[in-house]
Amino acid sequence: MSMLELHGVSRSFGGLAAVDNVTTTFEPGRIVGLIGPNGAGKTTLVNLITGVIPLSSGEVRFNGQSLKRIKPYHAAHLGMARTFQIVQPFNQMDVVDNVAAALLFSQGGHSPASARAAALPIIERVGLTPSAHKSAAALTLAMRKRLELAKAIAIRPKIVFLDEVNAGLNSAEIDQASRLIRELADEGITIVLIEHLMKVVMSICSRVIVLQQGRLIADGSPQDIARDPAVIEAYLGKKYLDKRQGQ
Amino acid sequence: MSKYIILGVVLVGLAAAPLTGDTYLMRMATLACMYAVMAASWNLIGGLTGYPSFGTAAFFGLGAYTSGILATLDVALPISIAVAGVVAFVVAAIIGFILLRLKGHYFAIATLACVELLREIANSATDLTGGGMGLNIPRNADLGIFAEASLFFFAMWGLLALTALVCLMVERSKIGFALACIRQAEGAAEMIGVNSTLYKTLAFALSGVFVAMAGGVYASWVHYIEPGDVFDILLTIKPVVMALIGGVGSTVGAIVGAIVYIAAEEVIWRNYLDFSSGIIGLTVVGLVLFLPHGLGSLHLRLRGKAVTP
Repeated sequence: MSMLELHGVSRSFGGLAAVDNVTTTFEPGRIVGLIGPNGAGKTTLVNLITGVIPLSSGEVRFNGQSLKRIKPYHAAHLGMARTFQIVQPFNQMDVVDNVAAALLFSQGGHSPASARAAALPIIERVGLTPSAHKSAAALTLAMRKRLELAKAIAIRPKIVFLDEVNAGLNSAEIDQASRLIRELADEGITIVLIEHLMKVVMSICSRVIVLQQGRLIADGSPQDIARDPAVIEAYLGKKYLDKRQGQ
Repeated sequence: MSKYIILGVVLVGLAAAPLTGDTYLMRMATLACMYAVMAASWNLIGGLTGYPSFGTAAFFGLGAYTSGILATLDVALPISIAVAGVVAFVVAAIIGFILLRLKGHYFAIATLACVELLREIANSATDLTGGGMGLNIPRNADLGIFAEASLFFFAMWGLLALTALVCLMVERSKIGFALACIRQAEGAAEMIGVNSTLYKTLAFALSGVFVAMAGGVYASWVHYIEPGDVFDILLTIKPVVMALIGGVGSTVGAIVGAIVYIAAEEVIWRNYLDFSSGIIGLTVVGLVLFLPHGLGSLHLRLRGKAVTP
């Protein structure tokens, strides 16, 4: 049984089909790249799975359970975590409280004090310990991205959607993030990586799925995807593809 | 820690009012306690949760009428006030569940409409409320002026102590943590598992309870209520201004803000009869412009430190 199954997932805004009849599955412990040109519906698909916006039609099943009209907090309780493309830290709290909040509200058994204590190892893991008591508003972009990761880890997820977690980072920072993502996958967490940096996708994903105009147009290993004519056309246009095939 | 000391000093200071034997001073202290209850209650939803409610007068009037009608049926004061609190909790929970999906100005206008709605209901339900003729609330017994002033002062003072206790507990608890998350990034709060609808509704319901109880005490205190009096829009505006004066987001700040406001209003009113509301208005504008984080940030401002909300 797959961990997460999508059956004909669709969502339209007015007449525009933002996500159009997407059917696929996600297995535990794998790193799946979700790529596609700007506006292809990648973030909308994550919003549909996590209940931020309701489906127009289709079905999402998580661990065999059908998710109908779920709310995002419910998705978190089930073990789905996500980071936001535009980071959304709790700006007036310090790093510890940001992570403690994720621990406190995603699972039972914590008090605010015990959640703060339990947050420290997670903060250590993402390398934010020196800034633990800084307010989130005072962090650099790279540190805020790591804070998003720490919050995602804190909810003890079964699946994590990372929405452009590497955008705006330098190459050393990207290597560091990639290592952490691999570690999480080794622990059995499914990672769905929404990413524009092909270097990252090619190096850590075992499978890549491609969206274009809301439709799933390709699904395979990174090497196959890089050679797929439909993907090349989606990114570089039909003219480029014709010219290349003419050579 | 210092906020608990300030709160203790304020409560003890207010409790000294009856010692003076001056019924005018006791009346002012009773009013200060009443508004402090309302400002601290508003802070739960407007300050901690970040939803600017203009519905305070709705719950004040609801409590005044609930308790007032029960009093005409010979129900004892403590029971009628407790019932007013319970009724307000339920009504606020229902209103909140519906309206808290609106944000910012939209939420403010919608809560304001609730005040008008309840006022019209009180105006029209003549059999129950006396309509525009108002409702006379019988005295329990003829206690004498000073004893009666003391009774209602301590009722309001006790209510303030209870409100402060509950608000401070909320601030420190898991609920307060959830409200802070919702205020700062509601979408992200949901994503880490905060049931925002539940916590927002709870905050709104709690913010209605003590305001309604204050309305109940007020009704018995003044012996006569009418819709225009207890659903007065100023009962909505003043608590917001008081919380702004004290520093939004702080229970103790809201309480101090209420006392400062009531004292300033009285002093200005006595000295400038013709232009009193103008001077109060200018004072408030000046405070918001030059001390936007309220009196609570004054010590930081004086030491030249940056103020973060």
